[in-house]
Amino acid sequence: MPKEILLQAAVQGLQMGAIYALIALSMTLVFSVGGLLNFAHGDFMALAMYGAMVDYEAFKIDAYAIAPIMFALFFLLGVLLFRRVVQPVLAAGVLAGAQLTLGLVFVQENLILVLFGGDYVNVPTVLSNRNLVVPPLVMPWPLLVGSAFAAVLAIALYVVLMRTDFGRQIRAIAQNRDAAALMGIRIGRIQAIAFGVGIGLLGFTGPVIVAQFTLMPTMGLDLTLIALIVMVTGGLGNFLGSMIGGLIIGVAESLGSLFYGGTVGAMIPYAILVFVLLFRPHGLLGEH
Amino acid sequence: MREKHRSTRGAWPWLLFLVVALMPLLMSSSGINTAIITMLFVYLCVAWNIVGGIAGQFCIGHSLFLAAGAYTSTLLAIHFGVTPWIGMFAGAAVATLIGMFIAWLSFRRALPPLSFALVTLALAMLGYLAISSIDVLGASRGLTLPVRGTPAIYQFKNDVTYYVVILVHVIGAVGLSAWLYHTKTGLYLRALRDNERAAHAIGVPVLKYKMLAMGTSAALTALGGTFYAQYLQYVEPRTFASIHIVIEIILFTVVGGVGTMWGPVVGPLMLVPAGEWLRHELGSGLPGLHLLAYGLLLVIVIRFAPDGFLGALERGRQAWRARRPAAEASPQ
Repeated sequence: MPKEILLQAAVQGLQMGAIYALIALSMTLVFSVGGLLNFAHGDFMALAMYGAMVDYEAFKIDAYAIAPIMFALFFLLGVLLFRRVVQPVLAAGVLAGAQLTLGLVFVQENLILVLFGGDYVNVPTVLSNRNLVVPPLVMPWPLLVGSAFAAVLAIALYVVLMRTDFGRQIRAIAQNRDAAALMGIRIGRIQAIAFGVGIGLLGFTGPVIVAQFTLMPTMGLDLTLIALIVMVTGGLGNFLGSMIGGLIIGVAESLGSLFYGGTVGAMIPYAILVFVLLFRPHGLLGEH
Repeated sequence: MREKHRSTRGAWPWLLFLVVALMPLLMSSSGINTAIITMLFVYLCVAWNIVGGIAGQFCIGHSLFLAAGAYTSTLLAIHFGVTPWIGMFAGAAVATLIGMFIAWLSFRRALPPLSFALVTLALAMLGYLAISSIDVLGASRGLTLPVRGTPAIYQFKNDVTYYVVILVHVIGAVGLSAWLYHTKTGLYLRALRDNERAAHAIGVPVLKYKMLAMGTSAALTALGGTFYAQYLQYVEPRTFASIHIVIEIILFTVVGGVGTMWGPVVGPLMLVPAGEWLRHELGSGLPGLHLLAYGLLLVIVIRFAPDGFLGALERGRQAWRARRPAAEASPQ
């Protein structure tokens, strides 16, 4: 196999990996403050992508321009959903929370089906069908820009988590909830904001990467599963691990489809998950 | 952990269930299909509850067992002419082996509970992708059963017979779970759920009972798979092997009451007919509208009764009991 093709696949994998990393990072954010495994995570992103489609068809505003507004909308949606629905159920246990999000999968998939129908949709943007050629590489602009946004956001979120008071409060709650409350951290408020930021990031990411995806109502669950795989590969609840895990899964998937074709390529992330869980059950960077 | 649900003993839930279960036999023929699917889900939920509820192992991989049952009996029937009455047990054996292997694997690696859910989810996705791409299994097109319509090969002219067959399955499964509740085995399983370390410390053979729960649940689910395949007379990956059917099984059980004996019976009994009714009322409008209403209903139930219908019932009863003596004691 020529080196150029291999390099091309690896670069494309890294770019997809950056997007996976951001989805997983926002999922880790949601997970770390309440132990909630959000099975509806990808569906929020799907909803944001369909939002970008509506915006394009109604106002002809480009998806990239709408992203900040979608962030605000989804942040509010996240906070509201957490306060009114998730928080009371989470009080009954982590498993009840996970089961609730399974119900949300059902709701969002069918909401999309009702509003937009079951057909495959592509949303055109200013960058659609344009490539950046850096011999020997050919990189589609939408993927390049999308992954750049994802990388910047992931790094920004990481810095916020590690360096700011807000980030320290989140990590304190994740480490020891009761002690955090005794230190004067307002648990419910921080949890709601963290959930809102997690969902808000999906609202931002959806429009930014919409040109790279073909939209369909069931796409959310696939995104969730990829994010879960990335999270577990990196170590459940480990922020740095989610970023590294995203890149690993992205490259593995891309090289896998190159060598073995689409179906086996799609199977590779799941196989990696099984292997990681069996041989490093706490993930690559997880603590014992 | 406090024993919340005392209604596992006694004959009245059985009587109530039998009355409800015999009602479809009096109904018109159009209702019988809904009744069959309802009973199938009751059966699958009771089977899932053995490992997911009683033993507390949150398994998202039951599509594997359903597919193992459906595909094994169907392949045996197509290629070797083996009647599904025998093939169903071959399918159950395959599913049991898979289930026990998963339980053994995750125990050996000492997986934390959420990771167990994820491993089963990943294996189910692998299974789905594999089945959808292997030609011998019909790939994404699936396989069609030869139609002869004789009871000797598990095919019936009348849908009522199918209903009776699945009802017998259900009674067997509920009987088994009742037996589990009232014996030491069930006590061990619930000890695993409540505190695995403590259970291990007092001498419960953890691995043995995890494998037992998983194997039993898998075998029952596989028998359901064969039934479903015989009823539809085809198998294909989206119906039998996708995650969506597991999500439905889990949600129905949750709405009824996870880990209780009658919860997984009550959940589908209420929800599957409700879903069919919504499809009937709203299905002619926008596609997906009835499923949206259905999903909202599920979320609302979980929001207000995270411990399920039976849990809410028990809480209501206790609140009523607590109020009554106070009312009697108050001055006239």
